[in-house]
Amino acid sequence: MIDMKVFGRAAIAGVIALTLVSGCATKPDPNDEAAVQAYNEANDPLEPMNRYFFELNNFFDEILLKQFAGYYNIALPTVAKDSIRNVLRNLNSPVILANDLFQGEGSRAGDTSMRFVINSTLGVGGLIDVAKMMGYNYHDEDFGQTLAVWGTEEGPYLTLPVLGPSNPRDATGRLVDKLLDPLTWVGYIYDVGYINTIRSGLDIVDTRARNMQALDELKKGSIDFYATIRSLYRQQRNDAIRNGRESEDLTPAVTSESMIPSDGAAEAGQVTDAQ
Amino acid sequence: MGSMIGRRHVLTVLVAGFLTIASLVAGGGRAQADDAAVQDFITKLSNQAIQEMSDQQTDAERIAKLRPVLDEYFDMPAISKYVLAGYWRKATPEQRTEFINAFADYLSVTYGKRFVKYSGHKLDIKRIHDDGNGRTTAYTVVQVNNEDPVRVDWIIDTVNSQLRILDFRVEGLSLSDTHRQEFASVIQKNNGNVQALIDLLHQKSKL
Repeated sequence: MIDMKVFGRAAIAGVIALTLVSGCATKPDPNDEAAVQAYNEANDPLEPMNRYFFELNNFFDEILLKQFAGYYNIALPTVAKDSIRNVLRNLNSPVILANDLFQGEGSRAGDTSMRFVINSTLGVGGLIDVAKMMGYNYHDEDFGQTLAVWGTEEGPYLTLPVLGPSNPRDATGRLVDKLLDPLTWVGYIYDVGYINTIRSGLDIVDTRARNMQALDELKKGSIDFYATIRSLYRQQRNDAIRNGRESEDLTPAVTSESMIPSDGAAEAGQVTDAQ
Repeated sequence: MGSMIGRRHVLTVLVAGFLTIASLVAGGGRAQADDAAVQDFITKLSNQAIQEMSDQQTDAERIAKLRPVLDEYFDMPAISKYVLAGYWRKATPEQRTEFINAFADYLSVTYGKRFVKYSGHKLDIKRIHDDGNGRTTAYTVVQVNNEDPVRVDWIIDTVNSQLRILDFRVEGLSLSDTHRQEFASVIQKNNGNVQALIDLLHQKSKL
């Protein structure tokens, strides 16, 4: 609790200091084509504020979350961790189903429904993923993705305090998902809000524990950890929005000549637009 | 369940049939030959990784083996140009050459270290797509050790009639795009100075 208070104060101080004084990233010199292109591709006008929260989140990750996740990894056998994840995923089924339907993904909505019914019953309240053995594989879905499918732009990059990488679209999605979640209302009506706190806490620790090695390596290997996470977050979201479907429209972005700048000084404008 | 499998089977046959017709219409027999070449190329790379990257060796040994693989299988000059974006144009010819080398060193060190607990993998080529202009994407699924299988897409170019990798995406995360964003940020922080990035790459490449 004390840590949360400190966090809250630091967060508020950060917002005041950064949004009022220097919240916005310095716009590049319009004549510097390379800098303009980099600025546009980063799509991060609030970078100083985002970096501040990134450092803050990182700090609390190092002293708190990472320690917890480490104990969690050591203390629990894989079977137990998988059961916890299965339960968490099962609890999330109503939200996933709603978003499957919002996106008009009939067959995926069917998978989610079948998973929920099978795992809640045969799977003993979600502890065992029986549905997977029957060919109904888990998939994730959230309202941020639904908004994207409906054509909403992601907007500028944001680092949220505690919650981490986001953008206006995904932050809105998070809020809507909370409202869509039956457990939010159960917690509210029966005055058992702590069940959702425990659930979120477990979810955060479990996710962190599973990404321990990957994040450590990324942190050690990268030259600019913030920019790496920013890029990976966007790519990961875009992949989730496409439901991981193989997509040919990605390839031209990487390989088209306009994305690889020519040696001459020409067509810098095109390079910027090609995003 | 029976009906699910049945439906998938029918779909597979339909898709296979459609693809065959499409490839016949599109490129006659040529497309088939290219596909085989791409398949050989990816399989060769995959086998070499299994042989050379095993965990029974030090980081230094693995990194030393990975470095020539980058030159042999990857189009390092094109990747370098892409990740430097607009700053490629600003770099002097000497800086470009130095960057290509520094970047390859950096990649072999950072990725070489990630093979610590590696003990082989299984690679399945799912589909090969002709992107035109000699470019191809190979969609594969790779299973490392006994972990969950991951999707890996390889974007392959033809350079002087040799196949070379331009980029790969692991579960939709692109190597080239990630470094492009990262390096742009580093150069910006150093007031547009490309040399600062090169120096940092040298630093990060020290064991």
